[in-house]
Amino acid sequence: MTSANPRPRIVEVAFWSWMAAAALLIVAGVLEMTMVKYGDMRHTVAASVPDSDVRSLFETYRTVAIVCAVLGLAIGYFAGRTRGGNKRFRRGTIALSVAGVVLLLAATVLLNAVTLLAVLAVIPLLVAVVAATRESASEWFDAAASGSDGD
Amino acid sequence: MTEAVAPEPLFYEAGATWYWLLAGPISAAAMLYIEVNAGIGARLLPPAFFLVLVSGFLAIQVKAARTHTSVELTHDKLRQGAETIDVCNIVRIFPEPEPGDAPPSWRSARALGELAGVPRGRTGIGLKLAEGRTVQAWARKDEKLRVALTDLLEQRSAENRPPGAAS
Repeated sequence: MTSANPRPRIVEVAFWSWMAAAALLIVAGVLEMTMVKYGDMRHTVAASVPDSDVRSLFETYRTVAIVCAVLGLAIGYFAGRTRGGNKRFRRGTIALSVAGVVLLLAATVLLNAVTLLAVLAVIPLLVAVVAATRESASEWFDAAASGSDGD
Repeated sequence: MTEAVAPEPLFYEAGATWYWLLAGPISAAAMLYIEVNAGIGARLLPPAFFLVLVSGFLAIQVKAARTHTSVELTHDKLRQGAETIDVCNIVRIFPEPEPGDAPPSWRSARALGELAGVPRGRTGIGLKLAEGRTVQAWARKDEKLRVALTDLLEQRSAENRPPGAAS
């Protein structure tokens, strides 16, 4: 990034909000992956419930945990590239954030399948999307893109 | 020849509606809207990709919710998620606490089904079982389930009453 086109504060806000969301999602995903165990679930659920149903619930929780962690890693990586002024990654990070908000809310409402940490990630994700789509941010990304074209 | 017809359930909740899948197209549309309004330039590939991703993940969630948070009450069985108990095992339905009362002890009893506790958006109903255990049934329309269970228990106790006994 050249000093002729300094990075505006709003892009910094978006970046750090994405990083906070990424950290929350990774920690939440890893915690859920390590803490939810099939044996513990089988032990707490009534014996009359078939193993297949307990297994399917366990696999749903595990899937949600993996999706949370992967989403966090992807948002962290994409946000880093976005901070450098890459418009394509900005588009991708926004798309990931919108998808992440929908998935987290659905997983919370439908099965209560995510931890509080992951639900909290919704707030920085929304802040980041709003910040990254402000006009001043758009102007900076346009300038950054035209600057790199000219290089 | 007569065909066995499954009895109509006295109470049924599906657990989750497939309408949740509409969140996929809605989030894709939201993404497109953001792209256009933020001057990123509308491209169809990212929204289409995320439409498939979001809808696919939601389908897994909805299917799981329909298995693990559905409720069905028939004359003989109460099913909560994948756990089923015989209605004849229920000996008492605890009354709903009055507003301002201390939380009753049955609120901390095990919730029926395989989820940890009463699922989000549902309200627990305290049940005393024949073997002395207390558990919580649950439903979104908990009042309706409570009425159906109460009617069933009253009907059962009337059937078990010896003929000629005063009501």
